[in-house]
Amino acid sequence: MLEVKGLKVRIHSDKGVVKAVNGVSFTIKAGQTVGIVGESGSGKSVLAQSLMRLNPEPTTVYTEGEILFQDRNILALTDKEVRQLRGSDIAMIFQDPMSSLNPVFKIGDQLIDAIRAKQKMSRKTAKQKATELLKDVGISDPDRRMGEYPHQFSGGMRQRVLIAMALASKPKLLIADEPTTALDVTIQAQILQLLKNIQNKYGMAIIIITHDLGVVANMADNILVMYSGRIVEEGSTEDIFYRTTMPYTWSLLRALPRLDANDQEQLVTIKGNPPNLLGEMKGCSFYQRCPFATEQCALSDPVLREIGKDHRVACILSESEFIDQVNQLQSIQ
Amino acid sequence: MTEEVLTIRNLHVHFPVKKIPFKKTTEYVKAVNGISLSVHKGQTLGIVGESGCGKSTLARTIVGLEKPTSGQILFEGEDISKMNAKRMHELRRDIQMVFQDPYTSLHPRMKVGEIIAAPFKAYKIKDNVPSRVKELMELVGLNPDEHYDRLPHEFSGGQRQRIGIARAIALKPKLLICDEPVSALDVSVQAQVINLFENLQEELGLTYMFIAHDLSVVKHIADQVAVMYLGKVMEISDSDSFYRNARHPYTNALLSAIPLPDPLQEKSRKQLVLEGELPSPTHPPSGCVFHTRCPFAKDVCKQSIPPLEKDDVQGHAVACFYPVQHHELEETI
Repeated sequence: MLEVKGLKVRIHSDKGVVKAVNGVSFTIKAGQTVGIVGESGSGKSVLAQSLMRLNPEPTTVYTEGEILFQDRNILALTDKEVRQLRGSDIAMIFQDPMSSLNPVFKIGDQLIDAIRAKQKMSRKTAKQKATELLKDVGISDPDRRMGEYPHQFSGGMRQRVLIAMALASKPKLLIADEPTTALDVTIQAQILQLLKNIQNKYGMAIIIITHDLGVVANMADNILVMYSGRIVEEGSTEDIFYRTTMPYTWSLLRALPRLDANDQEQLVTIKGNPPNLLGEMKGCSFYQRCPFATEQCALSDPVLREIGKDHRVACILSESEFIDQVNQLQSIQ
Repeated sequence: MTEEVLTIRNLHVHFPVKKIPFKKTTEYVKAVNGISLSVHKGQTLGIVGESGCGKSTLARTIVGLEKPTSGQILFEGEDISKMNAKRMHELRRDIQMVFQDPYTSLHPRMKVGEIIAAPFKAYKIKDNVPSRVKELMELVGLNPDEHYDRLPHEFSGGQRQRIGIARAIALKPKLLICDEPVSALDVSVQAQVINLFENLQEELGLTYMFIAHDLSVVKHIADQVAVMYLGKVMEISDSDSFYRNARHPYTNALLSAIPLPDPLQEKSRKQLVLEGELPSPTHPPSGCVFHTRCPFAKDVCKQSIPPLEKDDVQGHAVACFYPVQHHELEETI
């Protein structure tokens, strides 16, 4: 349904050109859930916003690639066509539910406006529809709550309102950019459960962007791991968690303090900091922090290659070499 | 157990809510509402809870940034609220704090060397300050020659947190209060800072009060864990038995709400998803403050307040009339 081919995104800033997305390709089928995982600065949000062309436009340049949504290239559409697409076939929910709603309008009015912007109907029918949507996202007493302002809603409730708004035109693709990062864990559990339920009911595909590997373990069918604007590993959720074959993903999983671990050993750290996306890039972007880096890694940029069914990795190590390296490292420790 | 560095007895911190100007205040936000705790020398007490449970207010009250409404805070047996300004000034040497946001807790126009030297200046210590600052920088993993004259904006989040830690340990405090010190950091950097905290504790014999909302981080670092909800401690126990044998329904809900980075476990486990949201701390529920969201609540929970009592399980204290047995929990959910 959605196909991204060799996408490159450059952002012009005061300090130079940021190479935010560097040749990303992936596909999403209808009804699928794809998780995009990465640290801050890995380009995951820029990628997500590119799918709806939400990046501020003169400064953001899509230098290469295509984004095909139902066989139309989103990057080639006119502004008017993109506007029609946004919020109808593709909808998005954001990290911060506080700043995504207008503080001076009632929740009901904002929801009704959102519905009427895409579909021709009377205010009265739109209001009925809004009530139904709020019920769908688990807000009790929707008639009363529609007369309230955003500040009367808690963080979790506002996120529910935004999900309702996104559902208004039955989108085929819902992009959720860190939807639960600003919420407490008990509320996060509620919202993730809600996303699953509405996916069952409405049957749309979901892209969930997060830095929390736990969130995607629970939600996603497929996972893309991003690092410095590239996909470094891609595969089914089981591939990523149980058949990890990329040093970055492997290190990330081991750096995580885990609730289900019994030991009190030290966490394995990834040395250094994520790379600066301003400068020239040469070689593998992870080689300076990689525990298995060789001289060759500094020279050549590994391409994403298939190692199993739909499991792709950008690393010069082959599967068996990678396992050898891991065993060697663990025996030293 | 070792001696108590900090003892808190029945602490209340209430903030007045001004509804009508010039009228007498009748309502109070009960941020901390009757807490008793102790922190032992050389150990780490972890404090967990969702936003709005009063954990930050507790930290701020201990360092003297808020005034307690009632109750006692004893530091090495001496009541903090009875101290005069001079004694308080001396005391602040012994209690230091590391803040959550490394972007706002460092002065943007001061050089790193000056920031770390500030505590020496405040206590009029003039003997070889630059060399002591350099020692501190090395201790927290910064490069003294390279980083001494730089400004905070030149550093990444993890490095800034290191600067904040160096400043906090400059005067060799007896107690370090860490308020969400790693929640603003990326996973790969978070592990580095957690390890730094552990190493410093070993080398300098520090005592920590470690506040976090992330139970897996706390599991890694704490010897004792206390769970807060609406200004009260719900459960306190040794870290080991806490994660194996949580007794309070709220603790169990928190633990089961955390998504595990393990898809198979995640799919097979049963979750105790809490309904509703945190009640207002201005009008906390009668009886047990958790009864409005508790799946096991009975009539008595609405009427009387369960005391925080030592439980039959070793090292556990639970404020609940019907603490959960693990096998029962499995059956209920």
